[in-house]
Amino acid sequence: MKIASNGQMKFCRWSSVTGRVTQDSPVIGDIHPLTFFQKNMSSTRQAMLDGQSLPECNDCDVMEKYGKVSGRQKQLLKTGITVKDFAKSCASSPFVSEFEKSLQQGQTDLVPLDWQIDLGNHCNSACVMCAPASSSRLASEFYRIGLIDKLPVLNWTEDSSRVDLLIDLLCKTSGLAYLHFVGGETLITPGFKKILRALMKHDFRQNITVGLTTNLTVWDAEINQMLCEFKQIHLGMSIDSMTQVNDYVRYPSDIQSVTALMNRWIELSRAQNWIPTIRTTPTALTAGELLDIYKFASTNQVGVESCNFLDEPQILRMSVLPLNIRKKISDQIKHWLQDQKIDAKAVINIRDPNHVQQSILQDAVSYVNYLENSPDETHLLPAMVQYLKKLDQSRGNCVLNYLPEYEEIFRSAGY
Amino acid sequence: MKKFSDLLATDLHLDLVLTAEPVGVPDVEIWLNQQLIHQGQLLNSFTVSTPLPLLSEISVSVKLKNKFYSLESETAVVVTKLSIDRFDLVPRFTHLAQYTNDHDFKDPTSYVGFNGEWKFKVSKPFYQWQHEITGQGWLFQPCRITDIL
Repeated sequence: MKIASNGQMKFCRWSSVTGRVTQDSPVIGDIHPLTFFQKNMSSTRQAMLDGQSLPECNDCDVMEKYGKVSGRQKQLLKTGITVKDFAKSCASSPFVSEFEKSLQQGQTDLVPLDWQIDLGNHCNSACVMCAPASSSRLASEFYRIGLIDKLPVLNWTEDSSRVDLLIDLLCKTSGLAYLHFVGGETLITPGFKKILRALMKHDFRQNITVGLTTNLTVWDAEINQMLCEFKQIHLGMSIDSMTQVNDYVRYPSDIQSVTALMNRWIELSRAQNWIPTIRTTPTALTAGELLDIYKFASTNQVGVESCNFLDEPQILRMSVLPLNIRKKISDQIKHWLQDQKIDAKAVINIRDPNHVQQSILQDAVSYVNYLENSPDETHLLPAMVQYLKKLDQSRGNCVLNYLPEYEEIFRSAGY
Repeated sequence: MKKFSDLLATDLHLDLVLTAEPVGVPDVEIWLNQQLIHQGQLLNSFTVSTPLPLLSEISVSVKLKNKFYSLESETAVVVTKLSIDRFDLVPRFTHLAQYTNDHDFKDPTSYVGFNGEWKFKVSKPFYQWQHEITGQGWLFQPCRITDIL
């Protein structure tokens, strides 16, 4: 289950949160999260059991189409279900009788064991591919330059009664397995510490894995100490380029300090037996940077997880790039892959430390597939250039200083 | 299968394949889920291919008996194939087999050359077991609480 940055509850951490989902979900606190899970999700549960495709599952459908391990596959695996042996593994799942109970009304009396908690949009970064709902800094800028006409609603974690409601539920869930926290920037969002502190009072914290994603601009020793109290930490480190291109897309970061901090996190993870993963958000601007990310990950044996093929903003999708550029990038990745030994069997549990290399390679293969086969969306190039021009004016920046190889196509599109 | 109700209406089973090869002429018993499926001298390769209930425990036992070490030092029975739904347990998971024998030989093997019993046990529904032994991470169990709402 997921709580979005505005407090809306969603049935899946991977469900699309973009404009395609028109049905508003209730906000935590307006109804109890357990009521949402047990009762409000009934129609979703019934639709799934009835074999329907849900629009919220589109991102996963696209991932699977291009051979990327999808959120659907990863979540199913936690209940023992594999796509490869779907019928038999489903019938063997510890949850099969629970699915059966949900057949008629869609309801359940279970509790969620695996959460993604978006803490709000409190963020010190204004990444070009981000959205106001996920970055307060970007929201202010968008408002100032007229890209939005109102600021997003207040972060739900600033309302302590809503946070307390969640904490109360989490602390009563003895089988709680995984909490993944996302910001904004997780480490500077007060709600993060508050929830960790509350969980630390309970013995079962030793059974909980905490996941978090950080933008590699923050180091908080107190939080690190708290994290050591939990069974396991899945650390997501957001970076999209090993060069100054990262400074442009993850504005206003500084690649020197970002990589220094990443190495510090990796060192801490090794010492604590945590699982560090590079969390990339590849876009049209960073497609050519992906190979360096894979090489770094491979050398350092750190996983790479790009959540999905970028859906929104549409104008920054890789498929906006001209086909010749896409081919050049995919050829570079393919050339690197030629020297790697790729296992034909998909690694679904990408957090398995024994399969880090294979999971990196399969992610690379999926991007080759995507670059070579996704629909041509070059008609969006002028819109991308207009957007970047607006940001560059606001920031006193120039994308061509970072990506000179794009000068010709950007100029032709109005830069 | 499109709907969950289709799944419930489908008869699902596991396909087990076991092959045992003789070295010399061993005296062998082969048991599958407490059923004796071979007893006596094993003269040729022995293969059994059989359906099993999807959720049942699985136990395969190969016993070598009456070997006289001074007369027939090479005699053995070798489990060359054990697979469930085409998932090979031998040799990849041979280390999970229990081999009790009169020489107290404990190394992982599917070469049964000492008098004793080689036993491979899947003690939970096969796909849950496979999930665990192949390192697929969490396998959640249903969890309820009653005192919140």
